[in-house]
Amino acid sequence: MEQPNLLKNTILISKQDFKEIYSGRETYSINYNDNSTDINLEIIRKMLVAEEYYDQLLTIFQNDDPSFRIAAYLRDNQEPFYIAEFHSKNQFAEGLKLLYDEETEDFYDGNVNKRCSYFIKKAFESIIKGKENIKYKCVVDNQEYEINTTDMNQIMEMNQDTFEDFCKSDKYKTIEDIPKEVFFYIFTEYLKSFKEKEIILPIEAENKLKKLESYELVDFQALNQFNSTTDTIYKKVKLDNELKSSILDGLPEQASELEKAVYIYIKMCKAFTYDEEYYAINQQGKLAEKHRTIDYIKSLNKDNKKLVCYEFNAIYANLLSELGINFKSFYATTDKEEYGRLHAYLKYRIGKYIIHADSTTSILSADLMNAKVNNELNGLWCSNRNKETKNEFEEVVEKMYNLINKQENEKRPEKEQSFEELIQEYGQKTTNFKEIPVKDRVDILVTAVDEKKLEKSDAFGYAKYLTELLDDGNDFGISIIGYDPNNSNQNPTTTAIIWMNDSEAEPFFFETGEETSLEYGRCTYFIYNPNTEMVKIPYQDLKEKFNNGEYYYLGETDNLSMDIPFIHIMPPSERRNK
Amino acid sequence: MIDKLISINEKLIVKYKNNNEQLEKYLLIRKILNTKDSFSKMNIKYAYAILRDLMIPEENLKEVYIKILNECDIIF
Repeated sequence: MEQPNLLKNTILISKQDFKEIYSGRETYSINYNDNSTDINLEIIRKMLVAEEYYDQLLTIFQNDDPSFRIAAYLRDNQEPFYIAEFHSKNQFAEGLKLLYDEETEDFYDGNVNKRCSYFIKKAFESIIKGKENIKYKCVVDNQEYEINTTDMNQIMEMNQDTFEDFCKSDKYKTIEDIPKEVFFYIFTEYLKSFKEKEIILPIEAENKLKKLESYELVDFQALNQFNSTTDTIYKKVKLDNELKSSILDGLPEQASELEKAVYIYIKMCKAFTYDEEYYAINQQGKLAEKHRTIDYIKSLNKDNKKLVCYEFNAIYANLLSELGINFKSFYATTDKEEYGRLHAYLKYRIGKYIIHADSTTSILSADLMNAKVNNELNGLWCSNRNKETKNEFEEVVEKMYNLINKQENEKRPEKEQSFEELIQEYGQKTTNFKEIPVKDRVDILVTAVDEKKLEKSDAFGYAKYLTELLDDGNDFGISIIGYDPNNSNQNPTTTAIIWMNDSEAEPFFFETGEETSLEYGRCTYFIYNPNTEMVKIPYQDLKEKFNNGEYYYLGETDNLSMDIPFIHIMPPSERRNK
Repeated sequence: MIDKLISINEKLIVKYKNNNEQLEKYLLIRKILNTKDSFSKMNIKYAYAILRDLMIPEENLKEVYIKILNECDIIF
């Protein structure tokens, strides 16, 4: 028989439920302010599911007493057995939160879910009760701000969708005269302050905190970071003036601080080279020693640009310090400034951007190489989690990369274009090409040679030169031959035969040099001597004059090669084997 | 004759200062004309195209071309 509930602030459960719930189930230890209680989560679930316990729980949460107990009468007429004692409602809320996070299927049947959230919220309200209108103070980037806790509590209760729209909206640049990013940084710190005190936040507030800490709604990740520089080694950097100028030359004055920092990084990657000797000796031994001291930087100049991560890091830090940018050097596996011992890289912050700079992530695919061949950089990246911020940073890198490449191209002496290249380019731009009839070109040849008034041999040379200029598919030519009118070897001279493809000419056959092969062509021949009338000569007459020795070829080079008219005369389309 | 062509070309450059496509072509022709003996270095089809671009009438092309050719110092 069950005992009546006579105990104040105690929820009594039945013996049967106790046995059912506690038969070998795992218990959790729930702590709050140094008080600990072990409890089986099933009993908390039972509090929410069974209406008789739920009603008792409601009553307890409606009063102001912070503590309560769960008990059961295991034997008649004996003291109740105290299953758990909660020193505050928040301690119970922690159990509720554990249950909530277990995400068991039946737990999410809606009603229980709502009840769980309700009690967590009630537990939270019991803690903040009486603490309204308190100024919550927070230092952000060396400036102190104050926000009324009531305002933040109202935001905490906001519907999640409304809250997210509020965060993302561009309408609000400031909230209560505080920059939006700073406001949400403080709001986040406010929520986190409860968690630090082991106070369970209402589920709605917890969801807001998760979203804010992802920095996707508002990017305040960089706030309160890199507010000062504690590095010291960079101050010892003495960089050759000429080398420094080569890096900083072209840095646009109107560029933003971020653009300048990126610009300098890319220019340094283009200017310096990784010391392959250091790489080859596996970064050990005497040859590696020179890189262990900052003084090595003094030896860098236009003829020696070989460095390793330590020097790059120190030089970059030095140049950033001149821009007033705070940074921190990182040395692998240590927080100390151990120059020359472990791989070094730099992190710095500009506005909302947190930037990671490591030009020597690997030797062969690092930015010291990438920048020189205009590959994508892999050592300079924005470590913000917010995608928009990352994209904006990438755009700045691309902008500076393009600017530097443009500047390099402008500095590079323009390659002198050859005349042939000029003509080729012109040919692509003009639309005024038209076929020029072969008869016109032969006429130009003869007229130009005649008007030049040259000696005969020079005139023939000029004619051959012009023939190349006037050529359009080997459809005419000129052959200089010997001429001995009486075939007597006395007073021989030269003359020229101009041949010209002519579709209206009579066809004729001729041997090609192969025994069985004969070809035919249509061609008109002229005997030409400068400043005398060009005379047409039939093919058969020409052939006869060659046969009787009146005409003869001059030298071996002319014979049967370039100048023999009988081979040149045929357009390929009209050739035919017989 | 080549000076006349250069002068015609300069006028065309001014005329087409706001027409990039044409301007680029005439700037190229300027470079070609300013190359010594340029006409004795190019095939007749390019020479005639340049003369046409310089608005030389079709019936005068042969005469102008021969004159320019014979102004060139040719070593052969």
